[in-house]
Amino acid sequence: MTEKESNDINEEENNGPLLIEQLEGNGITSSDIKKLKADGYHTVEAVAYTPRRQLMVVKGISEAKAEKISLEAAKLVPLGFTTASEFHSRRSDLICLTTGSKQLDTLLGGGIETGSITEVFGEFRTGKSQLCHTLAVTCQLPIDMGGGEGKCLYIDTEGTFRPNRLVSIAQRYGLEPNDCLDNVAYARAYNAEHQLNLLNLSAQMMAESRFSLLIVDSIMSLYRTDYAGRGELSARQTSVAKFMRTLQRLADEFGIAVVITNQVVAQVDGMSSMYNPDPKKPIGGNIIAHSSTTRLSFKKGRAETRICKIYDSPCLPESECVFAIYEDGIGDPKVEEE
Amino acid sequence: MLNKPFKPPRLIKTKEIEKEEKEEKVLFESKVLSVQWRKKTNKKNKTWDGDGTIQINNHEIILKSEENKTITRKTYNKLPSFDDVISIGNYEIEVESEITEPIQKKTKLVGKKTKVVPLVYDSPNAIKLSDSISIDPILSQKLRSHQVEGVKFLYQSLESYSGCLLADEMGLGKTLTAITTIYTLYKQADYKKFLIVCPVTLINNWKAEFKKWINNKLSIQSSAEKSDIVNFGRYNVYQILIINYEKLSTCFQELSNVKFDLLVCDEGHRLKNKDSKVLQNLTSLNIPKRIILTGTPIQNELLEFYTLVNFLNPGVLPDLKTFQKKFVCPITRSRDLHCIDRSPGEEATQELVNLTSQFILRRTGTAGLNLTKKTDILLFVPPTTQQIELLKSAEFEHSFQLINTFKKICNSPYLHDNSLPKASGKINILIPLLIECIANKEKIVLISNYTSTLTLLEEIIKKLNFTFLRLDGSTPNNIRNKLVSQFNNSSINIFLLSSKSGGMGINLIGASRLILFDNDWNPSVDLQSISRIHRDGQLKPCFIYRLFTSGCIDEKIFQRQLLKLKLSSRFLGNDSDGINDFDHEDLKNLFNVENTICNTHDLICDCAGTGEKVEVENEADEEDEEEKENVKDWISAKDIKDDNVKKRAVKLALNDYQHFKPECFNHDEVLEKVLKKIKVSFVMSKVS
Repeated sequence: MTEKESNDINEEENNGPLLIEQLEGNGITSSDIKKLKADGYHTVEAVAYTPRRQLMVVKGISEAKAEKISLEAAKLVPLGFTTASEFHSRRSDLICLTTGSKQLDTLLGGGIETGSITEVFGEFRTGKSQLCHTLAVTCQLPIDMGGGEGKCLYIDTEGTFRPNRLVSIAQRYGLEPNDCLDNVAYARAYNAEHQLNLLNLSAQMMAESRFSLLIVDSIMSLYRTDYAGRGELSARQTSVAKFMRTLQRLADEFGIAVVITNQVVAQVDGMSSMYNPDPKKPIGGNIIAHSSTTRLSFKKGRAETRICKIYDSPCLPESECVFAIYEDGIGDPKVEEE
Repeated sequence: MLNKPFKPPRLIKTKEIEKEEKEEKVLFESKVLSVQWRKKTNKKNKTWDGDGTIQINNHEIILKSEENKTITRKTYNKLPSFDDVISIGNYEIEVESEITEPIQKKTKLVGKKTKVVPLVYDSPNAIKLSDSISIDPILSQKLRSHQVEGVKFLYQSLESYSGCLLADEMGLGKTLTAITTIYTLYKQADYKKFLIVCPVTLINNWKAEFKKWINNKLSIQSSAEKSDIVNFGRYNVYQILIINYEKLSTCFQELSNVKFDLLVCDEGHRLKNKDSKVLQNLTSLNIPKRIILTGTPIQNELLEFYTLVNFLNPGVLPDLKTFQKKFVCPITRSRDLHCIDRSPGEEATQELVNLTSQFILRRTGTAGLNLTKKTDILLFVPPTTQQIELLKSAEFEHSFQLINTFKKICNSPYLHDNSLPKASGKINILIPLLIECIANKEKIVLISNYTSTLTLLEEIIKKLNFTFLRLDGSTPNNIRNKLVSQFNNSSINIFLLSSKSGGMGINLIGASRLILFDNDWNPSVDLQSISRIHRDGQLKPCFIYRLFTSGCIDEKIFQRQLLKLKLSSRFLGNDSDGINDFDHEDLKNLFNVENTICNTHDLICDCAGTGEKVEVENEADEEDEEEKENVKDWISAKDIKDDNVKKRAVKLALNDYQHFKPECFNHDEVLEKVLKKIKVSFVMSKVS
């Protein structure tokens, strides 16, 4: 490691994730670092947040080594207590990504929060993918315009990614479309295992350049079909849990916003269908329900308007708002004066 | 390729800017590019050692590492192409991109937000306001020079004082000046939340102006529900809140919880009354910086001026009692008709002007705007015999009621008593005037102070089969803008407007003729109404008619207005003359009906009415000098009784008008046609 790189990293100490190369020294060799990197640990935070047991699973790391690594990482990353006032002041600096519609932003308390997972679910045609496309552009805006000044990572499982939508949205904000498209890293996932591997790849990419958003468009669609039937349910849920945990880890390490879209299932039997005309609930069970920090449900309104309701949030009250889908992305519904 | 560092997307450039940049690039000799460098090797799989920057000066390339430490440099005869690997000394580089901002530090998103001030403000188009702040090029190219002066003034006085007053005459673009200031302060001076208070009709006007000039770079919340105000304060989604004066009181509780940085009061003369609840609420909101925009800051008396200044900069003027003693008394006394020694008043005026001129700016005239020709015409019409009878036989009541009765009768006897016919001197001239104007394919705005008069005029217009639209206090807010745009864009002939509710801010440039049917005691109300058509965007020459019933209370009110205008110009301009006297004689005079073709004309001059411009200035100066010499000595009683002074004031006010007997009038073809048919007493007209 050259002096220049270490100086670089020292500059970033207060601002960015610590790259794993920082751990070198004090008994940890560069070959150890390479083995950790090969297994998907690119930052010191990643190593600090994982339990020793999992570190030992890495090929070539012994128990003693794992302990040493853990100790070193704990020195560099704050893992203890702070006061709530300090935490509160840190949270007031939180960056929120604008969704394109001012009303939706107000409902969400400023926009989509970074550092946490937001789940969006709803029937088909309710605007989930449209929201994802709009966010892919707004995350590149400068911070004072409500953006995140970072790239976007888009994992698509249904094949609904349309770059021409990104072009229209970029023109709405007056940005060069090609530059915007360059800043979106797109991957198509073909099965549930592939989806998880993509996350490991993304950790590597995020350690190298600045990302502000990770989108998984339809987290459950591949799981729904890869694991079919009652018997495989527990295997599915375990896999989903691992996936969600990795997502949360990425959000914590790199401070990005994670947006996932979810599908719904209709409840055809049972008493709820008597009182509720069209009962739908999101799939994924309790695993997804508990892992996502904020959950939003989308419903179709009149014409191009959609209704968003807060389903679950740690700090926002349960309320609704109306937004609309236009050629240039998500926006506020236009007030008709006549 | 996939994982290049984050490069913020550039803005879409219009073709003009691209051309400019291409030209600039040719001249621009020193460039900075970001590159990847490595030591020269013969390895098969080459990797880049690190990132760096190169600076290109003329024919030399300097390679620097990321900490700006120079690695190596080399001069070339001809600069190599930047598409492939370039060799410099012992190193090789590959160009990534051009840097126009400082090298980006990687920042964790959950960390501190930093405000990045892009260096676009170094471009030659940005106008500097101070060392660190300049007007954004997108706006500076659209501002006129007097507006740039206005923005500079606003910025500088906000730095040194807590408030300032922009009192430019109407039509000079106060809204645009305010918008530029807000945008500059937001982007470069860390102001985050703005509150704009304005009359309810103008809310949509402000929104449209923001959209037009800065195309929604700042988000505006105008819905003013209580929950919206709370959300405005909590989150940073919107930057500007626009509400109207009435909402201020109802939503005061929520507003006081929001931390505003700047307050802009449009049509701020509304705050002239120091006991008004609106003013008290605004003061208790405690917003650190305030701007007041108004075209007519002093309407009636000096105390209003004091209230405004005290609201803007508490502490600049002394407290009320001292102010009364030190300024109001000497000034009013010196403007008294019978005052002998004017000097203490003049000193006080000068001191007042000195104290306040730092944060008050007023420009007049359509400075720099290329507007069409405007003709102001004062039409004095004779009253009908029925009107004279009614006026002479009016029962004696309290003077205010009597004033109102007289005014109604002058407009039309029908308003006083429904059994009487509608005809009156003014209506008799109005009807042919309307017919002629419309026959000339011009649209008309008809303004009155009273809705009952407007209703009467409506009936008359319906009988004449003309199409019209009406806007008064009872028109709901969301329809007002629609009415205005409907009138401007379609072929509706007449727009009926009530001066108090529609007089401010509305843009009726579709019309080229304006008729002010009756006048108000307050000259600024009439002035506001008159400036509805002659403004930016008007394509045809404008004609503005003011109707007066000669010899009656209409004329006396008009003369009173002229005297009041003098008061206003005294503190905002540099007039040194001013009369303020309304004694019992004047009150009795109000109710006199004189048999004359024009009382005002009789008062001020005795020309033949053939249209020569009357030279007033020299006479006045000469008389003044003579009087001044006599001041310290004994004065004869006759001189004191002389009320020449008052006449002179009215004369000065009507300085630019030419006096015509109806037969000789030649400024307006349409009116000439009317004059041939209907008998009119006198005409005064001014072309500008």
